[in-house]
Amino acid sequence: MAAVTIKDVWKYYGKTLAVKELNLEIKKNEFMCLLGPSGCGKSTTLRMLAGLEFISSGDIHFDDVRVNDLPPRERDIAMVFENYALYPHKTVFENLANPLKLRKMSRSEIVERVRRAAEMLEISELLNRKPGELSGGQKQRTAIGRAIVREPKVFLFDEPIAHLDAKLRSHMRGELKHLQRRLETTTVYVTHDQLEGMSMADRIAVMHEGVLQQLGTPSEIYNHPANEFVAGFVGEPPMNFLDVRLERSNEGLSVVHPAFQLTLTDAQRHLLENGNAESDTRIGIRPDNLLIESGDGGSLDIAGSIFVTEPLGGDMLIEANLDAETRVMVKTKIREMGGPGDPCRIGFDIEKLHVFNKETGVAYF
Amino acid sequence: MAADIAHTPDEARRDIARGARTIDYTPNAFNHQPARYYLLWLMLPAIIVLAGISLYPFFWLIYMSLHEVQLAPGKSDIWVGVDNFLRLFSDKKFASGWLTLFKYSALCLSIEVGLGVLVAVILNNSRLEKVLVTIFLMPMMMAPMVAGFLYMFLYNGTFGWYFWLLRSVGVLEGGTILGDRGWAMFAVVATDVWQWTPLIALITLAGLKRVPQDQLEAHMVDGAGEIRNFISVTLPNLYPFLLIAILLRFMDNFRFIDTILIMTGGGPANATKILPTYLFDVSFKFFELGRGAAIAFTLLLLTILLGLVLTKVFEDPARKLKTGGGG
Ligand SMILES: Nc1ncnc2c1ncn2[C@@H]1O[C@H](COP(=O)(O)OP(=O)(O)OP(=O)(O)O)[C@@H](O)[C@H]1O
Ligand SMILES: [Mg+2]
Repeated sequence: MAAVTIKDVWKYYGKTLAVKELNLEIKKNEFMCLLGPSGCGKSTTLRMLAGLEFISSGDIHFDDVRVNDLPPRERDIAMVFENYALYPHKTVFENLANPLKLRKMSRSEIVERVRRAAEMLEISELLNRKPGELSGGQKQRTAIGRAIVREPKVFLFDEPIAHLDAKLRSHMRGELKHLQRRLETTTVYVTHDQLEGMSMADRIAVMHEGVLQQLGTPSEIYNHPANEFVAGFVGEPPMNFLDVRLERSNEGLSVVHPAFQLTLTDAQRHLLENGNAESDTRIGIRPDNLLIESGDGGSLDIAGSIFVTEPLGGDMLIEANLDAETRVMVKTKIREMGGPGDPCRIGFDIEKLHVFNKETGVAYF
Repeated sequence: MAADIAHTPDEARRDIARGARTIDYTPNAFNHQPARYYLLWLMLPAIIVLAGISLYPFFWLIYMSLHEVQLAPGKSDIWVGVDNFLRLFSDKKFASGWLTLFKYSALCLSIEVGLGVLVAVILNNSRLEKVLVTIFLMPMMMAPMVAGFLYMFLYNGTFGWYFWLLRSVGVLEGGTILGDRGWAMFAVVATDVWQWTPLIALITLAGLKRVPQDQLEAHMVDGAGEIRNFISVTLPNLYPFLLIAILLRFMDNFRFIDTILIMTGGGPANATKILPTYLFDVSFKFFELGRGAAIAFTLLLLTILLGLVLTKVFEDPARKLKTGGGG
């Protein structure tokens, strides 16, 4: 249970830059998620926290202790590896007991702690099995068990549930979150699955190509993405992006696209003016924030045609063409939309619009 | 009827012979090997050749050990039963040959394995691994007899470099290295160590590459230091490799006498007369081929037995880890 401070940390593998000038403060007992696509430096960051990887420059502090040069065993951390890294020759019991044994705990204490951890994770029946005789989910519980038998300062999780099937994964998301709240231990959780980040974390750090893109609560990240990358990475299905021009008109500031024209709110206009926005910009809108009606007689502004529909059970995903070059994804509750080629009308929830600088990708709002 | 379902092609054919019109043939997981006989035919030439070169001499050895072998042409061998073996019991040189062999082999093996593993670990962490491995390979490439000569010269009492070194340092007070009862054994062991440690290092190095990195890391996070990590994770993963290395070296030690024959011939005063050298003397100096065969037979028997014991000891690292790796 320690606060973790990552200050100006750089990591090079030879000449490859893996992490660039990372600054991150993780509060005591916080569940922090490092989120980003494959190869963005998440695992590298986690491994530097664990002491498995040297830091090229910068400092890492656990509370007030600088841990840069401490080996893993002196950092008092527990880590769950992506591939579980169980000891194949040891039983589940011995796997769980290993960190306690290495810390010279008494036999009775070990037995008691392993029993408690096993109960918490519902693997009490498996204690005498070897990892080779376990299912993926059971292995993963064992790996988590090995982390929670101690009371470490920090939990480090590296995509612990990435290899489970979808149903088990959603179950484990809940379990892990519950476990973390119950154990009240600072946790750093690495994943490339935005859903895991959104559903479990107190705060999310989104990374891309070794650079921290945005740090915030799940709702901040979702509702106020700092740039185009974050906006596109978080949310499923992903945000629609359209290149537009900003033009002044009688009503105020408008977004002009060959297929449509939208008038921005006053608040949005101020933000763009304060940000000295160029007239060539890019807008983003989530599929949930587009409205759609079937047929061409509706009240919505933009006429389009359906390209394809994907029923998802409760919701329906619709890809619709606005003109020959522009296609957007819409998510709706309406069940009867017609088929490909049928006309439809589409509208924007203007409050939920995002505008980005076309060059830098930085969001104005 | 379930019991009568054919599981092999043969059983299926049997059913057809009995008049079955459809073949109820479910190959099961255990004997789904329709091509067994033809595999045997393919292997037959190899088996015959192997039998020729290993089985025939083996039976010939047993035959000889039960006879007093006559060398003069025209005379036939005299049947002596187990007499050759019984005589070994009262043969002091036979007993001391065994003792010396054990001493020699144990010394060679322990030093070579210890040193070999150490060298492998150092090589594995070294940037110059490839170059160093090539250099280390050189002694191994040398014919044992050449190595024997090389060391004989190094130990030589007039111009030997090692001799000069030991004398200068003052550990060797009088006499020569190979002429001293105490030093001679270490001298031949040193030669063997010099020549064969690289082999063990090489095999161990191959093993080190296979040690799962993630387990090492997990163990480090669990709270282990470097040494603990080596003992509890690396070593158990090396067992199969060490077993091969030790088996190879131990059997070689029991058989190879080239270097010893060159360097000391078993002397001084039998200090390096390991059993195979005694066997050589009996067979090819005294030409008592029957008695030599009896000695050879005991040697063979013990080599096989010890080989089996070794395999057992190293067989299941899991079990060893459980009982030995705790605490
Ligand atoms: N041992 C290494 N040697 C050289 N380059 C490495 C090494 N480990 C990682 N990298 C590089 O560093 C970058 C970041 O890797 P990292 O493992 O942190 O990615 P990640 O975000 O965990 O990705 P994933 O989701 O695929 O696990 C990548 O470009 C990778 O190629
Ligand atoms: Mg990773």
